[in-house]
Amino acid sequence: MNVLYIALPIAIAMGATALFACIRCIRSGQFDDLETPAVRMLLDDEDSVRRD
Amino acid sequence: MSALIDGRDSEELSDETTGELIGPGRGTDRSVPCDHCGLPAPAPADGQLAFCCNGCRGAYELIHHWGLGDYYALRDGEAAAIDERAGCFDDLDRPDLLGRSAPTPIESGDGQRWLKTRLSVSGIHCAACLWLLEKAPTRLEGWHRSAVQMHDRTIEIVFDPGRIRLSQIAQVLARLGYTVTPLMDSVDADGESDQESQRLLVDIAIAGFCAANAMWLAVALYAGDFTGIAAEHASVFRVAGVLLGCVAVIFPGRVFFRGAMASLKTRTPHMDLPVALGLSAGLLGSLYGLLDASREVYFDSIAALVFFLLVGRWLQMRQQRRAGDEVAGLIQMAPLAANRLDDRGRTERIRVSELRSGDQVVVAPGESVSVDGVVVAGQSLIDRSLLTGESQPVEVKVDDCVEAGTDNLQAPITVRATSVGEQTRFAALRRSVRDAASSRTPVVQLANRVGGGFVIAVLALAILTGVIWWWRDPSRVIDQVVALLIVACPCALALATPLAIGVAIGRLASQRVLVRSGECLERLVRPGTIFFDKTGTLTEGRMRVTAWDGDETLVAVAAAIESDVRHPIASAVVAYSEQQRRTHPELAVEDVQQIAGVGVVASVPGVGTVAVGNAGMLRGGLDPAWQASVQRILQDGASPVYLVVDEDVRAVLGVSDRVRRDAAATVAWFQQAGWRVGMLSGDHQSTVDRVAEAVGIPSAAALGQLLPDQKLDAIRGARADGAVVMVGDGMNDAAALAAADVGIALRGGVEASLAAAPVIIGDAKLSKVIELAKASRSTRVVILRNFAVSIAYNVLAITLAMTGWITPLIAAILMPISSLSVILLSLTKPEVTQSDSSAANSPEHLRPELAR
Repeated sequence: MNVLYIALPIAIAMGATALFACIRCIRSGQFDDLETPAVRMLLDDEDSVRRD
Repeated sequence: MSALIDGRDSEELSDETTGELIGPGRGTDRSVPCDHCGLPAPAPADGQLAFCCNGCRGAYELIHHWGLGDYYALRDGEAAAIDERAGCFDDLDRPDLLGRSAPTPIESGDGQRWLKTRLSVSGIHCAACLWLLEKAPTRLEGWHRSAVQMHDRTIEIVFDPGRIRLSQIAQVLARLGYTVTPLMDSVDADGESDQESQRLLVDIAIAGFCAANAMWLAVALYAGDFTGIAAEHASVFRVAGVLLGCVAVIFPGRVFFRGAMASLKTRTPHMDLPVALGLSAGLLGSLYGLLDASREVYFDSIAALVFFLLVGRWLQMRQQRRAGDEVAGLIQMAPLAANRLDDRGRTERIRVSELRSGDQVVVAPGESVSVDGVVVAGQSLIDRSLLTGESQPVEVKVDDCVEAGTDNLQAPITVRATSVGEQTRFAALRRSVRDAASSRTPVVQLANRVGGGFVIAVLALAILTGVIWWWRDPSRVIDQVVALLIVACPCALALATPLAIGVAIGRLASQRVLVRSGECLERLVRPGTIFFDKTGTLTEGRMRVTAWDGDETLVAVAAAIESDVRHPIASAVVAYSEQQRRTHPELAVEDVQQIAGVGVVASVPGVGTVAVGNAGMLRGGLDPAWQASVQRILQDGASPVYLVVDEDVRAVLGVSDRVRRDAAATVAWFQQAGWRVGMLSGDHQSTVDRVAEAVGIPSAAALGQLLPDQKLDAIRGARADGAVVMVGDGMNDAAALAAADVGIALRGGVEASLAAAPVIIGDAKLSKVIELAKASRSTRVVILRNFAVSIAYNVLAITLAMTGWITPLIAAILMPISSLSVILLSLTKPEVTQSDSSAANSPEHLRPELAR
């Protein structure tokens, strides 16, 4: 059962990696505007022939 | 030649797009929602589209011309009403006047030099606005890209300066109902709040990481209690868990200790205090428990507590930021540039921030005054409604005072600045809006208080349980303490309020009542004081021609004369002619002269010298026949306006701001329900009294001639006797809306008041205020029911756990049942009943199909 001594740090380290990735995303401003992306994904990209 | 203005001819000359011609209908009372903005509009002939004004018609036609008609299908509310007064945007072409919005050059793909700029934009409501704003560049030559950020209401525009000017883009956007202005040099740079939010998010991420990992360690330990676990492994888990708990409390949790210290220093109870107590008790208990394998550790609960409290705090901060900062950003109505007059009499266009007191500023008609000051030359009419709520423009002449934020309507005036920038009354109003909006008590506080107290109570009970079982049966101590800790999950308690409010908000939203802050519902339960604004709330907020006695064929002539005059009565006449389909665009009008405070005179070839104005236009007495119609108009509460051709009275018009049809019924409902109903208005007391009488408000409670800060005082004064509700729409209401316990803004009002109010009535129907009050009562019932259920559950379960009737396993099964029962109870709550009046008023069946 001593695998626990390896598995536990690995699990924590994996979590910590994700945590650092998350913190980097926050610092780069990805979470500053939480409204527009949620709305924008509803809009189609049908773009389109110019009508003049 | 009078055939020129004969009814038949003018009908034939009328604009083709207005569709089928109808006679001068008497049924002008019938109104349907405007197909663009949803405000009441005169009912059109069958199958035609209804528009409240030409601006909306223009926007509708432009959108369809671009082939972007999907906008109307996408949107979830109505578009912003078009401000027909949208003025001139030439300032946008001068980078030196733009400040933070000055365009920066960027390289396009094929080596051309494009410009990029960020502007703030007002009028964005929903996904459809975003869609329209981001699709518009594909339809306009030279405008390459636009990207909207909804949270701070800004738009980034990339354009080719060689092919289009920024002012042209702004013009197009104004036709769609979006006004762009350069970003303000705000006192606190906008990056600050973003950074604060980022710091909090990082804390949440760390706390979440600790909580999640502590949780699985705890699961392993609980499982180990059943299946057996090597003592060596158990202690590894315990050490790791306590370490995670320490990290959560020390790093992200430090804000609570800071708050608790501050609260101790100032000796004011604060929600952070019990939280910090609970956290330190849990942490110390865990560290102590670590010494002995048989003792309990609480690391998972403290880490989770930190996480959830921080999430709550972040949500609250977001809401406050919306309420406070956004308001300040939206009140960008003060102009950013002004014409300064130098010593040699030349004018120079400079940024308002460069103005000093003592400077002389020339304010052109149609421009906003940018400083508080004294008029030194010229005379004009000033629209002060933004600041004082007066519905009628005020005449100013030399030596009169004017304030920043008011609109000059008629002629250029020169103003000597007495105070500028942040010293103006307008800036003070803006500050009070911001303060009032951000000082609102947050709903999260309750959850925090309950959370902190709950932690202490549970820890105390856990210790008590441990002590009791130590005496009775030491082998079962751990089992019972664990069962208690699991079963005493505060989920149901925490869910009781937000869930019920969430359901009610959802149901109200489907009725176009948007509730942005849940505590409003709680505050509307018990009758208190409700104040209505007058202009635009109890009344329709725009002047209308309500009577036209005399020669109807002159409607087109009157409209032609008034078409370039910026005055509410002029707009009313023009709107009336459009509504009657008696427009006459080709009519030649010469020598238009505005006589301040009286009216307009012009000569119309083929008709003569035509004057439209008040009694000041009349030379000599009035025929008894006309006297009768003037009497009738005055009895209706309207003001008489005379149409004079060659000194001969040919028609008398009644002009008034009509009382909304549902106003009296709404006031009566609230009075019956035990509320004190009052009116707060900036308008003249006589007008206020007339409206009060019409809607049934006692004249003692109808206060007129109030300045915005006096409105605030009235609201604060009424606080002593229960909740204060303010219903309003004007900019001068914004501070009052934010300061009231519940601010209700009617859609169609000024953007700033919409942002300041936690409740918005989307279709501007006053009767929806009743729906809101009813919904709050039924929500109250549901909340109490939820509390009763979850408290009963917790008391029962904790008793069972303490007395040893349940094992940890059964506790784990019971725990989610309480949450589920609360969820089910909330969802099965009675519908918010639709009142008969609003069903009958529903214009849905009148609405013509959008056949395109």
